[in-house]
Amino acid sequence: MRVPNPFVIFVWLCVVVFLSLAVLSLISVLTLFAATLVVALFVHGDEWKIYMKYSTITASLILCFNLLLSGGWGNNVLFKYYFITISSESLLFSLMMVFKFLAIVSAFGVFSSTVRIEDLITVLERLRIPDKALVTAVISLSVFPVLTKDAKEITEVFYVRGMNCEKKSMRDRIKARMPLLISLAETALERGMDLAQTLELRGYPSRKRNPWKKIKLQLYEKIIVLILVSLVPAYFTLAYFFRLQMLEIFSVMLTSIAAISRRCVE
Amino acid sequence: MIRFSNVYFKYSLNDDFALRNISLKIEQSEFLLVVGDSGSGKTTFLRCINALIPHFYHGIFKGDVTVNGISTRDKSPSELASIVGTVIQTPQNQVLMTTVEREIAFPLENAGYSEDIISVRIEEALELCGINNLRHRKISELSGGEIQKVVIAASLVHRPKILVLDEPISQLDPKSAEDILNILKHLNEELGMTVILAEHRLDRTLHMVDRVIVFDKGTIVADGEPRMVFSKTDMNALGVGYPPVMGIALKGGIRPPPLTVKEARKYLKNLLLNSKIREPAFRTGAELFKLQDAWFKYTQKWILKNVNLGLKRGEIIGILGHNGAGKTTLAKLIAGLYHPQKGKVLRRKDIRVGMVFSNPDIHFSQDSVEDELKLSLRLAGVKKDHSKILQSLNIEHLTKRNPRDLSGGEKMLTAIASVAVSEPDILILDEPTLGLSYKHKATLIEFLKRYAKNKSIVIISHDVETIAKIAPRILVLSHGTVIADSNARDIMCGSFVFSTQLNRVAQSLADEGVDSLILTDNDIELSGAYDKSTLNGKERRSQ
Repeated sequence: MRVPNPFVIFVWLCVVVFLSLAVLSLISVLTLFAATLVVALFVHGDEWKIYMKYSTITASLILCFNLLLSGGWGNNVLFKYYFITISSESLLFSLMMVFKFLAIVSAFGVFSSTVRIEDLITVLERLRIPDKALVTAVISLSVFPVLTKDAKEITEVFYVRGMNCEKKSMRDRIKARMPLLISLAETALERGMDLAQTLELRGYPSRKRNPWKKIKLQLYEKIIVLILVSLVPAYFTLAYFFRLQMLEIFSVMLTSIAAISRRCVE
Repeated sequence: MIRFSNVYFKYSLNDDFALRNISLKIEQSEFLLVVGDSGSGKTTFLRCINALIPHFYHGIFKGDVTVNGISTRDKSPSELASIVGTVIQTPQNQVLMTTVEREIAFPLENAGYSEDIISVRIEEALELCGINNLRHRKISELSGGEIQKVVIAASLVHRPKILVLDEPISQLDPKSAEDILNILKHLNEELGMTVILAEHRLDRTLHMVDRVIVFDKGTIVADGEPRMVFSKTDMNALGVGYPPVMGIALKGGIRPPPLTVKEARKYLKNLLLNSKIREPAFRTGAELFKLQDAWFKYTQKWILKNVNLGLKRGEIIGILGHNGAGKTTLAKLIAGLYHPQKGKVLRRKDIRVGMVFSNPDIHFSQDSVEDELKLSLRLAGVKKDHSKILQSLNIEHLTKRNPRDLSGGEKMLTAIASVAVSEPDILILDEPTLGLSYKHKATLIEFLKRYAKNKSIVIISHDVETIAKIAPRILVLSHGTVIADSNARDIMCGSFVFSTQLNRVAQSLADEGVDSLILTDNDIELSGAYDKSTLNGKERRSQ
């Protein structure tokens, strides 16, 4: 796998998440999502694929809830069935919410695929993130890969014990899966405890910490970080005065590609 | 080096004290083995040395523990990390970084060492543990044995004076276990490191150590030189048991008993010559399951290649093989969790298959052992009394306890009970002896023998002593291929890797008339009319 500079990727992630939450146009959100897709193509991350695979169900739920709850807001009604009304405005709004979610998940997928836990610690320390938050981040990121394996094994355990979710109503399926979810949650907690214990035994957190491999930013990477960071105040200015959301969104896309592709090609 | 003064400890959620009035001194460069039944206080004792108690695990802590003159009350585990290196029970939960060298560098980074020193120390630790070839590998690509070595290397980079290990070889195949123990021996003998090891597998560890301490219900009931302690204490009553050669010598009245296979060759010769060999008796019924030319892969690489296996009612099959040989995948194929991409599975439609996984924790979702069994019966659609199985496994006293609060051995027996309660026709057990004390192992062996009378059992284990006692038929897997499938004696007798301790003695005495087919003490009947003269005065003095 090609590894871009973790610091640049971290800043890129923060900017993508911020803009995904802030922008209010479907095209802007789609462009952001496309930017993350291009980056994902460059890094070939396995974690990104897993993130996207599991987020499809949530994305479908977001679409359904938004369509139902928007209650036909807008004038152009496309569909009406009893109390369900879908207008073109509510459809666009729902799609925007879905792609906001997908853009954020995709950015996190890229982040997980490219930034190793040891580099994340270095990056977060450089940003003077408090120790407790750092320990939480380290444990969460260490537990996640093992948790997917645990989830698979716990499902197998319950399958062999006779759990059968087929030919049942949705309510019964959820009820049948409850023991599985409880087991998964408890296993995750225990793993988290073991990892916290290991961090203590390895002398972490420590004020004396000195990373073995330093993360150095080359000149072009510094410029990219500067551009990415400046996009946040730029968004407010442009959006307020000129309503030119697309401009900075395209800037994110271009700088993202530049940031990642340069290092990847090296 | 380490001093315990009247130490008591009670976990905040437990009613009983886990340690009671512990007072002892451990000198520098000692190699200490900590033994005891499951839940006797071994792990708690180790947690007091690295200061996890009282800083990480909270509860009532009385008395004082000093390590290298420092009270563990005053220093946290992270501050003691440069003096005490620790390896916990589950190595997979002790790796944090993505690559081997970064994992080993992590403790040094935290201690603030310069880049140059970190590089040198990494090199040193890799060399010491013999894993220089793994340096740039990803942790996720390593086998269990390799991860264990990396964890040990990460514990050593500080050049600690003390190394504390909690069951470090329980999940390893015989070769990997031997590698780890050789590393520990080297650290102790050549570098003068104090090694404190808690372990149930006495046949591999007892002969290596200088001193043994025996725990029972939170107190130390015996402490001293291994041969002396094991001769004077009834280890079976304490749930600890004996290594096979020592156990049989004590049964035959040979005292002091031999510790190693080499000693046993001398001491047990007459005893074995005068013993009657029991012929194994086993009956089998109709075929329940058959795999024909089965191939299986997860992604690109074939994990199982052309596997053929038939399983009959009443049969117990032991599956042996190195870490990553494909044993668990084969078990999942039998359980119906996976389907082969090539080949056939023939399974009778009216049979049920149950599988116990190597990690007992993933079996539990209820607040009590009783509810866990009731859930299993409900899921399997079986109406039955759940209390009988608890009696069969001697864990009826755990009925109301939360399964997650139990000791390692008790958890494993509860997981087995939760699967076996619905009486599946084929019961598959993946590493069922992990964390089991002698007492629990003996209970499990008896239970499985009874269970197999009208059912089938497939048991995967690195514990060759237990496999030899239970399984009349052995299947050996190597890199996904079945390299042997025959009766236990054919495969285990004389094997360099899979033979039992007693068989190694019998093999070397075969020329002198000892039956080389002896695998375990179950295979022989002591006649009592043997000559104890081999253990003459000179040999006794030399011990």
